[in-house]
Amino acid sequence: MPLIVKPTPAHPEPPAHKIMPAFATRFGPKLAGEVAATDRLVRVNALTALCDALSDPEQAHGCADAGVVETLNAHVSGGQDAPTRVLAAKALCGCARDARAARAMVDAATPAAIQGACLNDAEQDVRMHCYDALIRLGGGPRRGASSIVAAGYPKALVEKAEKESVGLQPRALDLLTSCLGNEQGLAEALDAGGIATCLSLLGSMEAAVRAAAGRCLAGLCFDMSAKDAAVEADAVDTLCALLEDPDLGARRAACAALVSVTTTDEGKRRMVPAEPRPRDAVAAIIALLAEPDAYLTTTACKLVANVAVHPKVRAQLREDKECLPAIDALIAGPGTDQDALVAQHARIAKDAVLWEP
Amino acid sequence: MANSAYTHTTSPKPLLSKMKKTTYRAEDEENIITNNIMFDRRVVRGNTYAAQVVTHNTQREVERMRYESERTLRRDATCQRKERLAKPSTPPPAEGRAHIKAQTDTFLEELSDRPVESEAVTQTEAILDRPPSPLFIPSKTGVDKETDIPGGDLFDFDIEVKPILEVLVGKTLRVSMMEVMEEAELDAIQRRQMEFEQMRNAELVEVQRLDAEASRRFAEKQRRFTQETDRLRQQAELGQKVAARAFARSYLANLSELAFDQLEDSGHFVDPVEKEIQDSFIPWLFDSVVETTNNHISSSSCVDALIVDAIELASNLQSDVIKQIKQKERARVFAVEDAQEIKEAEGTAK
Repeated sequence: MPLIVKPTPAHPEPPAHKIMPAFATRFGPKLAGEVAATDRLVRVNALTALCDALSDPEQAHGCADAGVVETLNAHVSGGQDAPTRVLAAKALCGCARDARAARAMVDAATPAAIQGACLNDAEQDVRMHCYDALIRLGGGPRRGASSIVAAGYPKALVEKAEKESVGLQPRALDLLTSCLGNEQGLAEALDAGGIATCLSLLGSMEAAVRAAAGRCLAGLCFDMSAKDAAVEADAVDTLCALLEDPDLGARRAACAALVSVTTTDEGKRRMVPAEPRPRDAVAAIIALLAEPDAYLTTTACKLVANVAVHPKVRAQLREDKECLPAIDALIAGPGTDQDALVAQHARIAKDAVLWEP
Repeated sequence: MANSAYTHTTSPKPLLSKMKKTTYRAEDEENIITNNIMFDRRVVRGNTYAAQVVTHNTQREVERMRYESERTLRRDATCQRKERLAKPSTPPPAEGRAHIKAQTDTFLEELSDRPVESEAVTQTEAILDRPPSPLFIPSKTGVDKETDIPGGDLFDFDIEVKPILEVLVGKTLRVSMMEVMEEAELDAIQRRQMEFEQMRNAELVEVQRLDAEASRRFAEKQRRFTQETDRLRQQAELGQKVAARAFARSYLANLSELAFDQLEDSGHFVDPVEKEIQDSFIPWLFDSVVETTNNHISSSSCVDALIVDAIELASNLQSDVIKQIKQKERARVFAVEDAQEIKEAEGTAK
């Protein structure tokens, strides 16, 4: 029996909350429009799709050109619902990964727009994504760090770092560290008492916080006045104790900070305390020379070169049975590029130890 | 052909084109023009599983329902038209006014928006009991063709889906793996960038160390230069001091004595006895001496005057004597004897 077949009806219009990607150049504008939707379900689904799409540079470029960054700024700082804020902050983090989207963030003054959300939002995830976005932005385009500093982050971060939850303290400190490459940021952080904050956080129970605080202190001590302030605040003793931290990152940060602090003569003098320490700092430095990490051994060699200027420390280094053999072992490394750098600094350290007036 | 997935008993041929000829039987099948079946209206496109199959009875029933509803509407419209024509119409309102519906009955009743309901009765028409008309089958057109479809030649989902599913799953996994690897690479790049940043900062600190070392050496050099300059200056000062001391020593060798002398001269060391002697005794002594001397001089002058007077007197006396002697000499000459006496007289006189 013949069949009468009705023609297939046209596809029904998909529901608005079902995000259908557009093709090619329409992708960005369509998704940007959906991200700016007033309907919460549409907005959240569009933000979820945007977070996935930003891993593609072409789509990230299209979205940035469509003005999605301004919309995300408004969502993060506009007091929307929590999922919208979290996903918008996550999308901003994705934007900061892409160079063009990061430039769009700078042009849209994202650091200033999301400052309130970054520091004071009730949702920890929002703050975490904002910190990640700004850290990547600060390490990306040159204007990124400048825009973060211009938004007044250094002072706010110094005040916020101790009050922030432990899980986000490393991010807050890393963001502060990224601001220190800018002279204005460095000056503002020092004026706000960054040295005291970092020294306080060096005693944290969390290893990541100690490492981040050490890195931040090392960055702060680029300034000569900061070195003196750190020495006055007994940073040398604190950092010497941290040289034996079980966490590698904390040891690396402490060693780098000590290298920076002991550049001054007063810092070298503080290496020889009036009262003996529970564990000798020089022995801890010598122990670092045998570490497998190349960066740590390099900074340890720099530290030896710094502190060997002090006659008592130099005599102690020279009399130690392990110091010079360890330095010789570094000089006679396998011959890789990294080892060449280590060997170069090991030679400098050896010359400093064997120097005689 | 043996390696292909499908085999055909009758090889596929294109259908005839309607543009060429629409005859029932193509007499010349060799000159047919091929046509794209995608644009042939006889070919049903789309998913055959989702297509709605409508039987002839169903279609007839639908047509009957439509006919019934149209007839009911027509009857209702006719009734309304008749009612409208039966009542006289209200004259139009005056200018600026409008008609308003109002109840004029003695007893008011509640008005509502409920539509007017009316009951209608119908009866199944006799035509529906009639068996359906036979389906009209148009005369056959086109060309009949035959083909043989052996078992396994048609699409078998379970078999055919495997390669497609393999591709889909493989592609999805590959894309997922690519995304994971890309994220891992980005993380590695970021980690490397951070390490590079730390190493760069360490090198900047090394620059500061070298700068501090150079400053320290420069300061040490300046300190030693200043120290040597001071040493030379102090040595020169020492030589000058030694020379000055020698000169001073030689200069001051007699200074005390001279000073004492000068001081003594200036009267800084005063002896009261000596001062009394000098101030009182010596002047008194000098005055006394002067007085005494003056007295002595005056006495001497007196004596001298007396002596002169005496000498003068004596000379006068001598001259008198001499004159007398001469007179006596003359007398002696004149008298020798008398001369002896005169001599004795002279001796006595002496």
